[in-house]
Amino acid sequence: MKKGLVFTSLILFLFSAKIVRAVEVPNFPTCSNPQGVLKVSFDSGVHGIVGNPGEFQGADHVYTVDDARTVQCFCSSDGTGIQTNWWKVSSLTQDEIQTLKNLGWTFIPTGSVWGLQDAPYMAQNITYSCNSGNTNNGGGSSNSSNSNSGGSVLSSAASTSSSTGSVLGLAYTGGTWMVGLLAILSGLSFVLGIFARKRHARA
Amino acid sequence: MNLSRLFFFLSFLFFIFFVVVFYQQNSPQNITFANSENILSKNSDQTTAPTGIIIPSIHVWLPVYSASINNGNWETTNKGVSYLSGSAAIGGSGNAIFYGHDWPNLLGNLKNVRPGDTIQIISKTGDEFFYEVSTVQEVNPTDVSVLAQTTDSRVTIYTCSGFLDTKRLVVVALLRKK
Repeated sequence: MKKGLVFTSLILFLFSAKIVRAVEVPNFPTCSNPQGVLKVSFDSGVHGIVGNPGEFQGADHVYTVDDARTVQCFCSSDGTGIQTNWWKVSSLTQDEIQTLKNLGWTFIPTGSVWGLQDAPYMAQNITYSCNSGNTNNGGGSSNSSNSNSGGSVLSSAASTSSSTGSVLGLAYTGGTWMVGLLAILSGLSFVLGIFARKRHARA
Repeated sequence: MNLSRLFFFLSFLFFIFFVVVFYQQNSPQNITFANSENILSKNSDQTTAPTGIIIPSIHVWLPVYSASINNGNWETTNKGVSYLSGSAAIGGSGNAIFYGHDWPNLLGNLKNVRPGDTIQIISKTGDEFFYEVSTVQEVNPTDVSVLAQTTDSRVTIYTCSGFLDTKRLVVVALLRKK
């Protein structure tokens, strides 16, 4: 019965994992180097963040990556940044929407309330650290010459950087100590297992 | 008997993690770019190649070594920080890309950098360029948009982060005008 329970759990896990993998979430550029066309730009003011009650004071810039993807880069006056990925989801099923909600996405029935298209959207908030005196698109600050204008002319790059097929990635720079540690832990656990089995056999 | 099974299970689990991390560290597929012109700059000038990087806020003083991408493999060094040759020149317009191991003696403290901090880059000619940190963000290894070339003058510095180094910590700094 125990084996049956383990087997059933494994099947359920694989099944649920398959459901998650079926929802292919597109890549969104980051606010560290925004891509797309600048749609809206506020260097200050009070703004709303989807899924978060209350009002937020700071700079807010919105970039249209393509018809289905929009990125909102908010930077509060205390240096807390919130990146909101807006994904237009006209063709998702209710199960897929629920799966994304379980992963932390917020469902918005119509984006028109947020200045987007009149279509359903899923929104995801990601925090980051930003320089409130050094905004994404310049102007209105003492460091205006340090404006981050990466997004305004990179619409062509956005179309290529979102290509699928080849695996894209940043170089792995992690330490070899991790690899060694895992190998040691694996070997140690194996030896302890043999030791425990022999001890049980003697008992 | 249950205890031995637990240890064997742990051994198997650690071995799986070992295989994943080892593959991730050595697989060229992890660092392949489909369109390298996205990150290579027309303003690349090796006469001003960087030779040193200083981040006072986290006590980093490190040499910089030029690196390139060979057959999809990013060259790395354990002696300092790598500068991706072919990315933008220091002090000029574009995105100059730096990266290094998240070891304590290299960029392990990069997570303590804050917006507003200063990053100083020293070029081969001895010129010094000062950048001000604009954003600090943790991204997935596939978020290569951080490496795209820009019209402003910036440096992008990154290292590994997160559980089993499955994320990348990216610091972007913009050139301070003199």
